[in-house]
Order: sequence, then structure tokens, then C-alpha cells
Amino acid sequence: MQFRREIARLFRIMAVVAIVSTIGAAAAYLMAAAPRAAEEPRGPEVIPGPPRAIQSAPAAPRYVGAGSCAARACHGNPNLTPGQEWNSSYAVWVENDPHARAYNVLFTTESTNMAAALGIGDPWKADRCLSCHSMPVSGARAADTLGEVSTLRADGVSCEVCHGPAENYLVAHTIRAWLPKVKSDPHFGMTNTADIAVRAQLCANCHVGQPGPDGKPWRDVNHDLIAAGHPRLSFELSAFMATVPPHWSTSTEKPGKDPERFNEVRSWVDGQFFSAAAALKVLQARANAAAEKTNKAVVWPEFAEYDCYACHHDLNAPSWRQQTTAAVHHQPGRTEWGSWYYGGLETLAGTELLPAQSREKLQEDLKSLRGALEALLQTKTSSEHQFPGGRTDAAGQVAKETAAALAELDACRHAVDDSLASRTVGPNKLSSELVQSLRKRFEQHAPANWDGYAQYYLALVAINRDRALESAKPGATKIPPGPADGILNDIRNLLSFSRMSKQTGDQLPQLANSANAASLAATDASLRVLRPGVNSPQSFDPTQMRLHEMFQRAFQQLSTSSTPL
Amino acid sequence: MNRFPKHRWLSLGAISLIAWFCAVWAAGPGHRQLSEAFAADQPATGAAPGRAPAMDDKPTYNGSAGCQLCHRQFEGRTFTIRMTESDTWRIHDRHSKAYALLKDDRGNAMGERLKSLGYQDITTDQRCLSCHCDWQTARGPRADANTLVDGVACEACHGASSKYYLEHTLPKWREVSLADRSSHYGMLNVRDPQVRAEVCLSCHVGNAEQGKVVTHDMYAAGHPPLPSFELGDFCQLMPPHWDEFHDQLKKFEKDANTRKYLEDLQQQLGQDDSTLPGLKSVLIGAVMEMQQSAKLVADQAAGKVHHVGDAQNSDNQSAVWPEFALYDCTMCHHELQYPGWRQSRTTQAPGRPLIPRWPQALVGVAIDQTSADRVAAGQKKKQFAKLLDDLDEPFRRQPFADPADIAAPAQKLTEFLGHEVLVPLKTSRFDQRAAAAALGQLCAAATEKVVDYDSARQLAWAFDRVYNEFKQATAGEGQGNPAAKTIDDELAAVKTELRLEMNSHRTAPNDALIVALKNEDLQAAVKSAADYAPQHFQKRFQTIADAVGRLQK
Repeated sequence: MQFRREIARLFRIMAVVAIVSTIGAAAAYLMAAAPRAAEEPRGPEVIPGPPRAIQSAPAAPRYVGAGSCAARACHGNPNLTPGQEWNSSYAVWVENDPHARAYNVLFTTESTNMAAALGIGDPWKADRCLSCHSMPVSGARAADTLGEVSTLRADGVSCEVCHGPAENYLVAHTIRAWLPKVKSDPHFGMTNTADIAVRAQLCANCHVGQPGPDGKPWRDVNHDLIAAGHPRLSFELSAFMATVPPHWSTSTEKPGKDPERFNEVRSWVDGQFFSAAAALKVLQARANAAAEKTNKAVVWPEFAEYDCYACHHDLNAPSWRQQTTAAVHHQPGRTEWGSWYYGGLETLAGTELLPAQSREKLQEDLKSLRGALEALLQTKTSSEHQFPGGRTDAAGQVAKETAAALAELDACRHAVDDSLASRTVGPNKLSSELVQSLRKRFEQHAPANWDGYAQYYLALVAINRDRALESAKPGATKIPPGPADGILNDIRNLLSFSRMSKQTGDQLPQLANSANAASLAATDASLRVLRPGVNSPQSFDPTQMRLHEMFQRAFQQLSTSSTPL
Repeated sequence: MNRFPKHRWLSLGAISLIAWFCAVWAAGPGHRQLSEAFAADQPATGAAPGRAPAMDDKPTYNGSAGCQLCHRQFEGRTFTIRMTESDTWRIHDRHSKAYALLKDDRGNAMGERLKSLGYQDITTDQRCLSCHCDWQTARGPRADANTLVDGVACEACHGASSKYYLEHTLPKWREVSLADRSSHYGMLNVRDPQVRAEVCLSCHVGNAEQGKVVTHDMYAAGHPPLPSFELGDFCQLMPPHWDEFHDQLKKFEKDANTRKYLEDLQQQLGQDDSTLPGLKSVLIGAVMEMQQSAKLVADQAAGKVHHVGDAQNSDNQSAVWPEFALYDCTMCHHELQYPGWRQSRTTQAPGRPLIPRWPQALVGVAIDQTSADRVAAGQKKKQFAKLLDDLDEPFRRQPFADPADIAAPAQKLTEFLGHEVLVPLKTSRFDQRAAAAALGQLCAAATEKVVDYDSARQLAWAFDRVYNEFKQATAGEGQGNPAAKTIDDELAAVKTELRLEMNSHRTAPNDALIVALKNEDLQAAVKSAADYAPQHFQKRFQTIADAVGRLQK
């Protein structure tokens, strides 16, 4: 009996303990859950972050090198697993991404020949080359690194060039819970590459150019470099993004998370703005340096600012160039300024994506800047016998006009942002609006040179790709596969560079960094017009009605296929 | 009146004129100024006795109609010259169509395009007429609007004729020295290669002071590219309407007086029997081509472009800088290609357009020909290279160059060439041996380094001229020699590949009077330049060089 009573007591105690512990557990659970629920409205300061010791790292973080990212458990898993792309991002980059070979390419015969022609010594040691072909840790920036400068250089254009110097975030970003804080707090120095505007500026820093902290051109592929053998830069964001092997997850991309993948068209629009802005900043740096006459190394006037193929063509007679001089609003024998970056921008500025007022203002600014730059190359000098290109006041004038154009450009970009945000246009709506606008602009103001047509072509390719991606999404209205593929392919052939040697008729050899060309071809054949380093576009002739008609048909096909959406 | 009709008066006049000529001829003592014989006609000046008054006013142009009265099929008389010059020029020489070109299809199209650049009418615009017709300063009383139609006629090269028009028809003319013919009568001494070069180059390279500049505007509007200019072969391509002394002397083998006259002329020109005039032209041309090109760019930089008779439109007188036409065309105008031969040129700053390279192509050979030995030649070439480099330097330092930096190095280069090369060239005899050496030197220049299209043509033209003259002088000694055949074959191939003939000859007299460069020809010309492969040219000349070596052994 006594024993039974003891057991019953024990059970009672156990029950009480169980109830109490259950209640406690429930309370603990609720207490733990409560702040999480309250997280959203309370703002970022409650995001769990790394300890203070880590947060008090240097204000200007330094580079650590791609080696720190390459562990198999981190980003170096050679087996790419869908959904786990972050785990293989280093592997994808090192295997397939031409950026990984940016430094190695400086050791090729082409590069050494180039450096010899320029008289800059070994290309793998020259700041001029390293500023883009490796992590920017050369020259005055040698102190910006924790590791061996030589090791960091050898990585080429590696993780931190785009994602930011990792000193402050290297440890912190490995703790998943801290990641949102690390990504959003600028103190950690991790670049928000998901933001299309940020991304566009990042790419443009090298692929267009960038002035250094001293205000002089720093990352700068100018005409000297091109003449020595460097391929010309002709950057267009949406095309270039489509050619980079993605080391991020494309399958799990959601609207808002990765706007570039989710919206090709938006990427074309922002690419135009930021490429032009980068080009204008370099121009401003050049003009300022020329006006000050302090920096002898700055070339002025700079031929790379003008249309390459205005001069670079074999002489011919009769030539389409002579037939069209009236049609293209240019006098015979003159070259056009800014045919690539500002041509694309002018096309954009001519569309209805921009509010009418900003459109007019931007077009006016660009026109006046164009006038100033084209006057540099030929002006009557009867009164002063002085070379306008060498005159400091002329350079100062260009600098001033460039500043004005930059300000206007910025205002326009915000206007487009606001206009798109306020109308909440869906992606398909945006692309069909762009097709209509481009078509209208094309009919009123057909381009006069290769650059102009190529920019139109890349816009159409972006729109076409956008369509394909959209229709591939689950639940989307299926569009017949690539309705414009055929016509775009035909246009590409007319715009493409010949690969034949003129003298011998043989196939020209591939450039040494042919991985680049090969990956271009593999990724997207439609972008082959951009393949650099070979002949001029010899079969190009804008007076050919065929070219004009093909564009009309492409516009037609892209418009009809977009209407039912 | 019936007994003395009009034509009798005319014949009487003609007879008295002839009598008067005879009197003048009889009265003239040897080597006296012809003008003294005309003393009654000439206003007295303070000139020293025995000397004609220097030209105090510029002679005027009369047009070629008067020349054609005599210099055209004037058979049956024994003249030292051919007396068919006018027909050769009119029928075979494209210069006679220079003005007509402004009015043909291409001319009209160019005129339309040039309207946007301030050319109202290219058939009256001085910038066009300065090269496309022959009057520069003023039209004389004998000239009318038709004078224009003559294009580049007699007086364009021989000088405005108002002061020699009549005088040079008199037998006494033989007694006037070459120097006086030029300084007192305005008849240019085109038998002197230096004078001839000056005349040709004023249009074919350009002369800013005379307003003869082909601008980039003109090219862009459709003006065919000016080929590089090699004096020796170009005179052959005209074709010549004159005979060299050698042939003239042969013609007058039995006429001692005339022989004496010709030999005297030869002496005045610093030549003798052994002189090969072609070689001399090539070498003097080589130096002048370089000098004139440097001067042109310096004048343009200094704003010295002068358009005669264009005062009413002062805007046209201004010089532009940069004037793209003064740079080497193909430095910019080539399709981009990588790898391309242009990257193999290591001596220049990449991406900075320089002045044309072709005027330098033959200067080295001229230096070789005037130097005592290899060492001296080497030194002189080094000096020349340094001066050239100084002239290139402003163009390398700053795209298009600051015009203020050009005059000084251009001046130095021109002076050096004048003193160090041209002076010794003028007094050298240039015999067969010199020609043999020149062939080797030309081959060396063509094979030593990579040259551009225009320079290659210079070398090939010069070789062609010197080799043909050499062959003639040696009277076909090498005939049957396989080496000679190799040279002939390779040279023929080079001629085709580089289009050395330039469609310059009309094949038959009736081969249409309009010699406008046909579109097909122009296309072929520019294509030949575009497709030029320097290695191929070097290979051809290597073969020629080897054959020349074998031939001379």
C-alpha cells in the first residue's frame, strides 16, 4: 500500500514536472518566436549581427584574395548543384568565366607586343593594364590588400572586384543569420550586386572606363591602346550579362531579388544610362586634364571618343558614305562623336520611356556636347593659327558641357525610375512599350553607322531574350519559341565582323584569350557582333535597303508577338 | 584694186615679217640677249648694257590655242624639238582633260556634295581651278574663257607665255641662255629636273602658297586619292612630248651648228653624253618630293594657304588645322584587322596619324648616290633619320600635332636635304655605273623593311625607270640572260599588282577624248591599295634583287 502511494506520488510529481516543463517549453517557444514576428516592422537594427569586435574592423576594408573564397565547403564545390549555386560560384568563375583569365592574358604574345608598342614595359607589371586586368591593388593601391600583391593580381578579376573587399565581411558573411545584416550594412563593404544600378556601374568601371581618384583617366582603353592591339570596348549591359556564365542561382530568382535576370529590358535601359554616365565621366576627366595642361599623359583630342568606322574603312568609290552624307546630317569627311555610348542613349532618349520634358533636355545637352567635340577636330584657324584640339579653352568648354550632360543624365534616369515605378508596368508590358518606342524612333531617325545599328540590334536581342525567359516561367502564356530568332540572326550576319584575312583570304587566327570568344559563341550566338579584335564590319552598308527592311521585320515580329500578352 | 587683192596684202605682210626675222637673226652677235635685238619694243630700264631688263611685271597666260598653231604636226621643218607636242598633249596626255573632269559625272556629283562645305561652283572655284587649269595669276589679252577648257595646258608647266610667245619663235632664241629664258621671258626651264619637279609637285603634292591643296573635304566628296609621285616614271607615263638630248643629238648628227647648240644646253644643265637623265630625274625628284611635302605641311600649319583671285571670299583663304588630307591616308583609312601588318611597324607611336611616309622612300638612295662611301652614306642617312624623327615628333606627342611645332623641324629637314643632297645631286653626272649601283640600292630599300603601299609604288616606279634606262644604255647586253628575264617578269607582275601604269595612257589616239577615271578603274585603284600585302612585295623585290646581283656579275 505504502509502495502504491509512493508510486502515485511519483507520477503526480512527474505529471506536474511534465505540465510545468510543457508550459515552460511553450512559453520559451512563444518568447523565442515573438521577436521574430516583430522583426519586419521594427527595422534593420534588430537583425542579429556579428560581435562588436568584428564590426570595429577598418573603415576602408582591404582585399583578401579569391583563395579565401575557394574552400569546397564555401564557394569552391566543383559539383554544381541546382539551388546550391552559391556553393560552386568560385568553381564556375575559375572554370568558365573569362574574368578569371584577365591577368593571365597579359602574358600572351599579343599583350607583350601591345606593351612594347606603347613603351610601357611588361604588361603584367604596368599599372595601365593591371587597373582592369587584376584586382586594383597596383601602384598607389598596393596598401589596399592584406595578402601578397602578386597573388591577388594573379587571380585576375576575382570575387572581390565585384563583391567588394572582403576584410570586414569575410568571417561575418559565413553565419547565415548575420547575412542580411552583412549585405545591407555598407560598413561591411559587401557590394549589393543584386541591384541592377550598382551592377551596371560596377561593370562600366572597367568595360567603359573610370577616372582615378585624382580626376584623371585611370581605367581607360583609349585610341593609343586600341591602335597597339587592344580590342575596342563596346559595352552593353544586357548583352554582357547574358554572356557571363552565371555563378548564382537563376532557377530560384524571384522578382525583385535579381532584377537583371528577371527583367532583361530593364537591364538594357539601365545599362544605357550607366554606360553613358561612365563614358561621360571619363570624357570629363580627359577634358579637365587637357584644360589644365598638367598631365602630359592624357591624350587630347581622344580618337576613341569618335566613331571608329568613320575613318577605319578601306577607301572605295563610289562609296555608300558619299551617298548618304545628306541623309546622315553630316558633312563629307567629318566623323561622329560618341556613336556607341551616346548613340544608344540618344535612341533611348528618343523613346517614350522618358517623360517628354526630360527627353528634350537630354537630347539638347547631347547635341551641344556633340557640337563641341566635333569642332575639336576641324575648325577654321585663320585668325589665330591655333589647333582647336590643343586649345585649353576648348577643352574647358567640353568639360563644362560634359558636367551639364551628366547632371541631366542623372535626372533622366530618376525620371525613368519614377515613371516605371508609378505605372507598375509588368515586364511584358515594358518590353512591348520599348519595342513600340524603338520602332517609332527607328522610322523617324534611322542610324547612319554600324554603332547605331548594333545598338538597335542589341536592344532587340534583349527584348527577344526577355520574351523567351518570361514564357519559360511556370504558368506564363507560352510564346511560340523565338519568333524573331530568324530575322535577328540575319541582321547579325550583316553586322558581323569578317573573320577572313583580306590579303590571303584565310581564316584569321583566334586571339590568345579565345576562351573569351568561345564562351561568347557558346553562350549566345546572337551577341557575336560584339566579338572584338578582328576585321571591321565589311559587309555593313546602311544604304542597303535589305538591312533597313530586316529591322522593320524584326520590329514587326516582336510587336505582334507581344500584343496578346 | 583688182590688181592688188586682199590676199596679196597678206602675203606681202608675211614676206616682210620673214624678212624682218631674218634681219634680226643676222644682226644678232653670238650669245647676246635677244631682248637687245628687240630694244625698240622694250621699255628702257636701268639694266646694265648687254643684259635684258629683269621682269618687272608678271607675264600673263594666253592659252594653248596659239601654241597649237605651230606645235602640232608641223612637218617638213627641222626643229630640235618634235613640233608635235600639242597633239601628244591633246590626244594622249590626261592633263588636257583636267578641266573637263570638273564637269563630268563625278565632277557634278562632287560639286553637289561640296556645296554644304562652302563651294558654290567647282567649275569656277579657285580651290579647284588652281590645279585643274593652267592660269594662276592673270589672263593675258590672247586668252578668253575658252582657255579654261584647255585644262592643264602648255603654260601650266612652261610658264605664262606673254613674254616669250613671239620671241621664242625667232632663230635668235637659240642664243638666249636657259637661265635668261626663265628669268627674263618667263619660260620655265623644265629640262632641269629640279624645276620640273617643282612644277609637277606643286599640284601632285601640293603647294599652299599657290593655293594648290587637295583637302580632305574634296576627298570625302569624291576626289580620287592623289597617288604618290615619282618624277622619273611619271614623266614617262604622261607620255613624253619631248626627246632627251641623246636622241636629239642623234637626229642632228650632221648639223654641227645645232649639235653645238644642244651640247651647250646640255652643259648649262650640268649634263654630258654619259648622263642618264632618267636616273637624275628619279634622284632629284626623290629629294624634292620630301622637301615639298614637308613644306606643304609646314605652310598649312602656319596658315599660309593662298587662293589666288579669291579675295572676295576671304573665308576661303583660311587654313584649317588639322587638315586631314595632309596625313597619311591609309594610317586611318584601312579596315581593321588583327593580326595585321600595321602592327609590325615598331617605329611609330600607335594610334597617332603621321604625315605621309612615301616621300621618304627614295631619299636613302639619293643619299647613297651622293656619298663617297658607305660610311659617309650611313652617317648622312642617320642625320636624315634624326631630322625626320624631329618632324614626326610633334605628331606623335599630340594627336594631329600642335601647328606651332612644325615649322622649325620642317625647315631644318628641307635645308639639310637642299645642302647635303640636292646640291651634290645637281652636279653629279649619273652614268651607267651609277645606274647599276642605284638598282642595287633600290632593291635594298625595298627589301630591308616593311613599307606601305605608296612607298612600295615609289620604289617600284623608280626601279622601273632606272632599269629601263640602264637596259637602253647597255644596248641590251644582258639579253638572253635568264636573270634579265626574271627581272622583266617580276617587274611586270609588280606593275600589275601595284597598278603602276595607273591607266595613264590612252591606248589609241581615238580612245575617247574624255579620260575621266572610270569608276571601275578608280575602284580597282583603291582596291589595289587596300589589298596591298607588304610581305608579298618584299618577296617580289627579293627575287629582283637576286637577279640584279646575278646580272651584274
